Amino acid sequence: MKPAPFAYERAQDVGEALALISSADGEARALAGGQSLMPMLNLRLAQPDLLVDIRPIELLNQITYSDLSCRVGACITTAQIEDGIVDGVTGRYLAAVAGGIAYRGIRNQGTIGGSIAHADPSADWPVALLALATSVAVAGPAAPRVVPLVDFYRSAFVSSLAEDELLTELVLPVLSERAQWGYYKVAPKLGEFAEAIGVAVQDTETNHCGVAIGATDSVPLRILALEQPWRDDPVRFPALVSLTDIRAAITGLGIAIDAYKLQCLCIAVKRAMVAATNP
Amino acid sequence: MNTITLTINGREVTRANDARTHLADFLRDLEGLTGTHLGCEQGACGACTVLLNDVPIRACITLAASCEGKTVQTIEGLENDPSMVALRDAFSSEHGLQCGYCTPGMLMTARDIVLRCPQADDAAVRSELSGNLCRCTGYVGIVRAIRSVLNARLT
Repeated sequence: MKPAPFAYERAQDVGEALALISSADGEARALAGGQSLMPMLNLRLAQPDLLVDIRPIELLNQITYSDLSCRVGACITTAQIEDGIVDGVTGRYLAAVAGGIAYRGIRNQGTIGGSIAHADPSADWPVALLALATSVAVAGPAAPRVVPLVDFYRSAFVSSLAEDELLTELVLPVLSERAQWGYYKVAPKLGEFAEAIGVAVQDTETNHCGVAIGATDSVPLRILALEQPWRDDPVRFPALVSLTDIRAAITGLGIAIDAYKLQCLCIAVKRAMVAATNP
Repeated sequence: MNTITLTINGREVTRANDARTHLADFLRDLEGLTGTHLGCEQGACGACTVLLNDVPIRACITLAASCEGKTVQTIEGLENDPSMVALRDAFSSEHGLQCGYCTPGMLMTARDIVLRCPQADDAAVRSELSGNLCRCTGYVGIVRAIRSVLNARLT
């Protein structure tokens, strides 16, 4: 299966990328690692007129740090993250997530920005970053904006990125040495997408707590009903919380999932929370 | 049409090609390097694995045009690579291939495992190989072959 014909251009900076994308009247796609887009093109699930390769753009390949946050360029690859390119405790969390994504050949090209923008319900980066209170930096014809990831997703494969916008950086919080996390995938076949993902991150020093589910068939979701009791009892809550309570919390989100998926999500959340307090 | 220049197995190549030509077809059809195989053209089977700037990637989901200025090594280009020589011997001894269709990609990934994961046990090898599919062998001989090379390097 070969792609339908298209033109290919390389952008050297964000302005050029936006101009090229706008020039195609909604028929252009940004190309980063291509690990999601290229299979779609090969299967002709997508038939853009123009691909704009954004990998040469320096801003998208940088990581900058401040006291409270770390900005990761959209074209940083999952393999670079796995190998520790992001400093500090945040980097260690990201590396732990990265190592479980697909296989190394995919990780060598797939980018963190591409994964967030593509919004595949079964992907790892969206739910992993959702549990961290991440924001997304977006460039477009209007002024650049920063969107909290919790407001970024609409539905499966649909984010709030407009056709003429580009995701440029992920803005992540700097975690302290006291941060704890657990990341659990129900993925019976090695290397395949997960059937359920549970994530639990708590940092008592920066006062952050995030419990999230992914592979819901729609958008990843925070479970606030579990976060508050965990904040109140950081050490014991994960061991004490029952699957019944987790099930009620997930059901309370009002999403449509079958009994098997719900059970897998409950297990994933429980095991992620326990792993956070028992590293 | 795009004109691209890249290095393939140590040789600089400049060629015009259709923008939609992926790297695997560029190598096979335009350069005659047919050791890189197509199994799925979706990035799932690993038969098309080559090295791009020294790391393994899937050539079927990589545009040739995006490899401008980069270095590609195919299975043909690694003929005398010491790790590849050891792996080929091990695949032969441990019956790690039957029809041979998955084998170039398996060897590419196996070389990455041997170099990047020197402590890998059976479970780690199987996890690293999860993106390379084989319809013939049941993977047992492949895992044994990789482990034998890893073990030889640990002693």
